[in-house]
Amino acid sequence: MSRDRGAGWLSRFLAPRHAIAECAIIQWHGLGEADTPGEDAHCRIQLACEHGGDDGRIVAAAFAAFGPPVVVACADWVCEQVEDRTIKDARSLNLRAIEQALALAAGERYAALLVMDALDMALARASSNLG
Amino acid sequence: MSIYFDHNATTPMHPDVFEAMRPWLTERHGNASSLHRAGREARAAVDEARGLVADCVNAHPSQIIFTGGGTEADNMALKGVAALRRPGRMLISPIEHPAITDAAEALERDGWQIGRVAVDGQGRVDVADLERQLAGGDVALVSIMVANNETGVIQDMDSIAPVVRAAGAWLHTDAVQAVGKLGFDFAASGAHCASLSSHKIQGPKGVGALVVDKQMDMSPLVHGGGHEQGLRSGSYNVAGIVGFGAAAKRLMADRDAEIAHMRDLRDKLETGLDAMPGITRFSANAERLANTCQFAVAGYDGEGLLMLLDREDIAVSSGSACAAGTGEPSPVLLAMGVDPAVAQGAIRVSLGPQNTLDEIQQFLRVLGRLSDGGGMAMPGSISASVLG
Amino acid sequence: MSATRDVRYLDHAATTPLAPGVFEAMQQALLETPANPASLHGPGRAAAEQVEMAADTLGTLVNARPRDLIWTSGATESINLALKGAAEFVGDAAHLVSVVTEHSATLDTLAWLERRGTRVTRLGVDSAGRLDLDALETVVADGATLVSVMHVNNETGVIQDIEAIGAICGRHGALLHVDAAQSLGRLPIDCARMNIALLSVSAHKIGGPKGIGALFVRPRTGIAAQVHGGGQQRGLRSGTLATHQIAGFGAAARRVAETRDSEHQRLAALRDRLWAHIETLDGVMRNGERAHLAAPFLNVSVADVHGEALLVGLTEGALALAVSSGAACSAAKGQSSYVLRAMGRTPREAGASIRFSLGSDTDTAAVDEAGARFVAEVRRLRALAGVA
Repeated sequence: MSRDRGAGWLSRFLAPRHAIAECAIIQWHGLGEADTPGEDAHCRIQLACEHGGDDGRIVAAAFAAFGPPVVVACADWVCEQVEDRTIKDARSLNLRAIEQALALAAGERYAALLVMDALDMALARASSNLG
Repeated sequence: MSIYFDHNATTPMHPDVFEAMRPWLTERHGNASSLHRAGREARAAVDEARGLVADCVNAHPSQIIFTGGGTEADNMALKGVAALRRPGRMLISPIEHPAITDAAEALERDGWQIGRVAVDGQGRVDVADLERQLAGGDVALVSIMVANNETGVIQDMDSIAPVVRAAGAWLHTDAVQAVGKLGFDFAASGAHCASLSSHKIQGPKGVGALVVDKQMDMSPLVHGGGHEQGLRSGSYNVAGIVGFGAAAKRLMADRDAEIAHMRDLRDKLETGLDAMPGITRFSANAERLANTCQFAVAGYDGEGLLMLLDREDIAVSSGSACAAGTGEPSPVLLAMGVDPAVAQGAIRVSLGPQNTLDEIQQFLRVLGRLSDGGGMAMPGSISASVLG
Repeated sequence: MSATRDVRYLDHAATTPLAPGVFEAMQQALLETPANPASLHGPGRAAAEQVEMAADTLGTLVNARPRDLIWTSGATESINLALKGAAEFVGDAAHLVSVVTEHSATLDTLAWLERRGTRVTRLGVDSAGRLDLDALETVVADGATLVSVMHVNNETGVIQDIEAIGAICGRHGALLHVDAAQSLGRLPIDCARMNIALLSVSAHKIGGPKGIGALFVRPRTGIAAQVHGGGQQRGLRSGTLATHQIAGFGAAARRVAETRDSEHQRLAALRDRLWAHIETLDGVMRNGERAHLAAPFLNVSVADVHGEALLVGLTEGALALAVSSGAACSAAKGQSSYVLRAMGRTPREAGASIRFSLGSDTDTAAVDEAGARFVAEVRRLRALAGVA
């Protein structure tokens, strides 16, 4: 456990801004989920988009997460990053970006992978549902 | 005037050390293993102290294993190595602290062969004999203290270490007395592990350390939770460790001046002693710690003299505090070939930085008066002559 | 307690703040009796007297003779000495019997002894964490050297029936070692009436300093010393005694003798109040049955939250709670509690468990705030996980 680092990521865990529970939107266009059984972690990402196709703009992104605090922090950060971007731009978000932005330790990188897997699925579904 | 001349037995805690400890005894009471804030603060304090102790002996912080004292550290070194293999041989000097000699004897009962390296009449290890005994093979560990607590004699570690290493044995050194009165550089010493004690450098009692080179394979003596890299379990004595760190830090700043001061007083003491009849000084011709003078007064039993001095409000010791009250002459002196009747009369003066010239002069006056009492035989000295 | 940091300290089982009078007792010992208690001179004897007074007080608290108490660096060392000492004394025929829910000081020591050939039996517990006395008697009747049981479990607060266990040991000629680290000062302990041969206690769980503990050794109980050298404490545990630490332990023991019964009532009521808050949540289980729990303890397992998230959520942020999940000593290993798994909790439940341990500075306001904070955090995490 590395709670000595990243006051930034800890505060995302304590006060995330993109939790599904707090989100008023009821129409979601893309939903993705992933698990990391070894860490007993699960993440769900939900996207609401203007319209489909690569240039569809993501108007809202929210998450539900069960797992260690770093998972919540990564999911919150990723949702913040993809909101207001097109589906194509959102796809360019990569693992390194998360790891660096949240200064993830080696043992925490699984959380970035987990959230990216959930995001990839949500983007694919949003694109096909609307496109 | 109350005179304390027993600093090798223990030293008074330095006020700076107490102030450093105070918050960890009052509002900051977290268990250093707890994950919450109070725990993490305590953990950080332990790690900071670790760094200070490491700096003081030129070791890496990861080489410092905190223990409950110097005696425990000595035990860890010998038994920790012994536990990992079938019984073989170990070599120690015959003038080690009882923590080493008694731990070695315990291992002997388990089948280990403990060889005692020869020392000369001054207490210096005979390096040629060490080499000879090493040549016999299967020596797991050699333990030789940097500086002796009774006579103050300093060993030639620069010659000893290469010989031990060349034979493929681990070298342990008890640096408990050396740190405060000589200085100890672990990295340069050639030792694989070294024992340290907080209360010999004006820190709190109940805390020590074993400095351990990562190469060494060692079994812990105390199990339960795996603290200190698995080598020493148990809840951290946060305040005590902080105190040890503060003592180490303070020492680094003041040691040179303190050594000079103690040496000056000790040399004046010895000049005074040398002018008195019937005084034998031990290890007189060897390099010794700046603060230590062990000597005997003819016709006096050491413990008897200690009591006489005690009545004059002067605190000294006869041999190691640890072996006090046994009535036997010091094994250290006997190993040096000192006549038992003479050794029986030994007392040790060990000075500290707070001692003054006035105290030295008072001591000489009192001693002069006592030994001038017509060479009054003390009950102890009667038994000494019976032994004689 | 650090009011400046807005933390409620509910982790007294991990460690406690110094009780009133303890700091002063330690400071007095440091200033007035700083000498080595083993020294024969006046300053040494004054220090020895402080040690005797503390032994008197502690002995009275557990109905043991002062001279049967051995000072150690803490309960971990005491437990190591009791178990390794008994096993070594008896030799190959030794058979040690204990319980799967013991502290790691016991379990790690038993594991080490087992690797070296000692026979060890570990009994399970029921879902309430209690030992089946008939099962114990069967094993002991079959031939046990020593039975080692914690009086109060450090994670759950579950109380074992030491008096009944002592009677079983008495019937079959086995020694009883009790790890009383969590029961000293909370429950009555009577070494004579409970047929206890060895008792391990720690100062920092009763408002005393960290780094000092004791082992009661009933006369004619054979144990082999583990720390040799100097022969202090009848040779059972060598090393310089830390007078200030022992004085602190004595002062804490004196205070706890006065407050034990009233604190028991007060803390039981506060603990019940805390549970009443927490019980308003769905999916929370209390570990251990109220009738057999020491008053300050409340250990709850929470469904539908991740253990690490719960602990971080409670111990960080505004109005942080200093609590723990699993023992402080094993927290670093990130293992979910073996104690709770032994009581039948699933790994996830055992991982999502929080231990509250109330103490001297816990009041109604703290309990109400902690209860509300806990409920709010559980709800928050469940919502974050998308659980209704």
